Amino acid sequence: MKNQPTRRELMKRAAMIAATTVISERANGAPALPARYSPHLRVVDGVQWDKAPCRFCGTGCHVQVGVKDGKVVAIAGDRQAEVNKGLLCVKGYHVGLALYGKDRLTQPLLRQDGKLVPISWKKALDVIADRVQKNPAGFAFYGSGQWTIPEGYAANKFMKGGLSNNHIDPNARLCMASAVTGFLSTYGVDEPAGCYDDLDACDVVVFWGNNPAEMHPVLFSRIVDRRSRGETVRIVDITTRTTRSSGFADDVLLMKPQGDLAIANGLLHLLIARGTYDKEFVEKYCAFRGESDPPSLNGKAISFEDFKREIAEYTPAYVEQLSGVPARKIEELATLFGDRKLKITSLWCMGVNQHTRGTAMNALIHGVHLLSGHFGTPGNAPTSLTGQPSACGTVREVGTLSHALPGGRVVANEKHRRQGEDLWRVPHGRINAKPGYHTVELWRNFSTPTEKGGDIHTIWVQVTNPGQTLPNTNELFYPSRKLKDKFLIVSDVYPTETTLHADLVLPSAMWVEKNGMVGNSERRTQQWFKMVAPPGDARDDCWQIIAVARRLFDRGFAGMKDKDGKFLFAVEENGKEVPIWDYRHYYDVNVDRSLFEEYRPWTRLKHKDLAPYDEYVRAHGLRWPVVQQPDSSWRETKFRFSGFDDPYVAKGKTYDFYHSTSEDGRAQIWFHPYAAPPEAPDKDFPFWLCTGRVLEHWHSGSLTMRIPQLRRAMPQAYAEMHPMDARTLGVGNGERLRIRSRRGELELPVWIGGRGAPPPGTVFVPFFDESLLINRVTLDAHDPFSKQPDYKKCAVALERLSTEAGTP
Amino acid sequence: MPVSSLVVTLLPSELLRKQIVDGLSADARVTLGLAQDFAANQLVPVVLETETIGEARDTAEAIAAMDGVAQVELVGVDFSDLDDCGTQTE
Repeated sequence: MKNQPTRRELMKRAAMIAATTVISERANGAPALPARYSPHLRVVDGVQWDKAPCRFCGTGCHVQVGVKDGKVVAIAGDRQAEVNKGLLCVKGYHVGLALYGKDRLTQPLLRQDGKLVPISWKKALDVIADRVQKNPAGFAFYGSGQWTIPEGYAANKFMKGGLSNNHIDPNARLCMASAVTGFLSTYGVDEPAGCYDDLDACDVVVFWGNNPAEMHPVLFSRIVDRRSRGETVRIVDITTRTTRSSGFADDVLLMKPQGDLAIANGLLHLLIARGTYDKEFVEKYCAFRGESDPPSLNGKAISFEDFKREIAEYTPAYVEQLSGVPARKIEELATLFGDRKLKITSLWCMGVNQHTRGTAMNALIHGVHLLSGHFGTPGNAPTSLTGQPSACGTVREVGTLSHALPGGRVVANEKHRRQGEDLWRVPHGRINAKPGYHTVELWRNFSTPTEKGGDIHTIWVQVTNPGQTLPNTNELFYPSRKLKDKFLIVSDVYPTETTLHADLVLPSAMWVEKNGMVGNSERRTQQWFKMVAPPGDARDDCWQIIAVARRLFDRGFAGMKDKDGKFLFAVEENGKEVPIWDYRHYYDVNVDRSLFEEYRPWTRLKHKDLAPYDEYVRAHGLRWPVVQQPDSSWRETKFRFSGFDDPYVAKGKTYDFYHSTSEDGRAQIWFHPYAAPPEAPDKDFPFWLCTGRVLEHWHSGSLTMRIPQLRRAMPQAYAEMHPMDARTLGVGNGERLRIRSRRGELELPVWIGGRGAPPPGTVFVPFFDESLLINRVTLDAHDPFSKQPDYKKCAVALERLSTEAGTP
Repeated sequence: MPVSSLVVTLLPSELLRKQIVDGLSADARVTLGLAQDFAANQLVPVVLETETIGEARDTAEAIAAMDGVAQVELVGVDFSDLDDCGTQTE
């Protein structure tokens, strides 16, 4: 047929229509596209694809998000992403469906006469501003490792730079605070030296209380897939219950709870006793440290001879007695660490961090690697993993902890406060010198009546579900809900145990409904653009903070003004302030870019340099420090403290711990003795309880339980126990059991021979199920330095309830 | 060859707008659509035909860097006539 357009002409016509349509929609008042040029954005068969990191764990996999007609319609693994190379786990493949649960929160709700009733955003913002003005010092913020970097930065600035109030802490306090104190006490600076490249190069990988087959499946695949290529990777699993990860292990060291302290000390002892430690590395780059009286994070300097004497007690026989692991297995693992031809990577997560000796355990693992010289070359690394997508990026780097400021600064240090006040352009004296309440303290205080000293009157919660995830909720969460002058504000995307008990509920945008940036476990900062609109009146968490700040500014609240009287969150374009507090104009500019560029100078203060925002637009994440090269390009760092890669290592040095707490370029090898757990089984409560996650569900399940495929695969929590214990109690699979501790109780179905296998005397319960809240039972005892609670071990009694059958 | 669909936002300067439009019109790879005023700015739909996706990115970035351009938004890139390796299939 004549005059029929060619395919190319049709493509051009379609492209012109697309651009013109966008402009017409804009002219008709439709929200603007995010201000962006995404080199990753492309259209195939009418579906627009762009990159984003997965919403769930701290691995930081990249997904390709397919959007059509304003809705996420497809998800694919991103083959260009170094982290996952196109692979995703079962949660990642379904991440798009997390947006489309039927019960999304779509309008602000205020509790009136006991019921949550819809109100306008204007009213909601006024209510929050009123609560702040009631007494700014009693207003607290409880955030998350799921906050994006700009969100966390805005919240931190709002509280510390605006309200002069440090009562801001994140849920990450519950998952990785001990990793932070472990890094600080060992290297003087937080976050891992190595990266995921170590998993491709190591000969041995040691899991310390870690089950990556379910918790970090893509990293686990990265390790075990090497076997399918004919490579040898030996896996050593140190655990209190055998798991899916154990099934792939060459050696399983089944230990008693708290036995990890003994095992690490046993390895340190054998390395010295056998003379297999790396003498040259230790002499050149390490110092020794012991616990001080009174206890402190930096302890006291001790000599090698002191260390050798202290550690000598931890013979294989004694370690066997403390940990339950046969002496022979301790000796075999020490032999591996004593062989410097091998490359050894350690991985750990909650098993080590959720521990009343979490700081000590972290430091001991670093110590085993430093003493044995398995450090600083590809494949040799002690690497802690994170559970949330931005526990590192937002919590540890932006410093949304109650004692911290961005960039590794702390509020207690006057020089750091002055730096912060100058960077935020607020008057000197604005940042409060007194650290705020850490998570357990904050919620305990909120649940304490005002007249009895509970001086927190309001908590604003964003992107987390403390009603389900705090330990010992019967003491830390629920009592506040009966106190009339305590007010709980919750920003979330779905109804949760926390919104159920809130006084004000704010509907939030999530993931690709907003711009975002996060930082994963290997120091990789990642960026994505908004791709779809949030439902109803749901709005960005960052906007919510800025809008409240503006309410306060308009009311004349001095804290929301900088030293020149300008709004604390002012964003200008072409010399004019853009009214980003009005949601209609929030995307007239890229607020994320503006906040991130404001944050960047902080990152250089402790050698965690980040590149300009646009570099992250182009990349699938970059690992800090990211330093500009003579040709203007930006170079990431894979191996910190190693002269061959880290730009901050002094020239000519092989290793340089340039934030050394002993100020001599050395890392610290600690002696931390074994200590008994705060609670152990006894006559009344004869079993250990361990809690954790499962493959299909992420954290409190508020997202994954809305994804039908994941909910069907794992519909409810269960009590996993040993068949012998089940026989003794007279319970079979599916029969119900009451678990009771000194703090609370819960009824659950039993699962025997399921996914994991606890040893006799132990029961395991996952915490994802909002209908079976195991944290009514758990313990709130916490590490003295990190303030992180121990969810992995407490004493419980078990009682058979019925013979009703059913599968969990 | 990939076909990119862009929205170019021009700042309120008649002189600069003319220079930009003249410059883009002279580029055989570029097709300009009908500009529309939006607040003080002007939005121009642009179609860009390039040999590679990299060339499209570089060109869009070059447009964004022109004096008088406030921003360039990428509406989409159709590269359905490229195979998996980025080479043209027709």
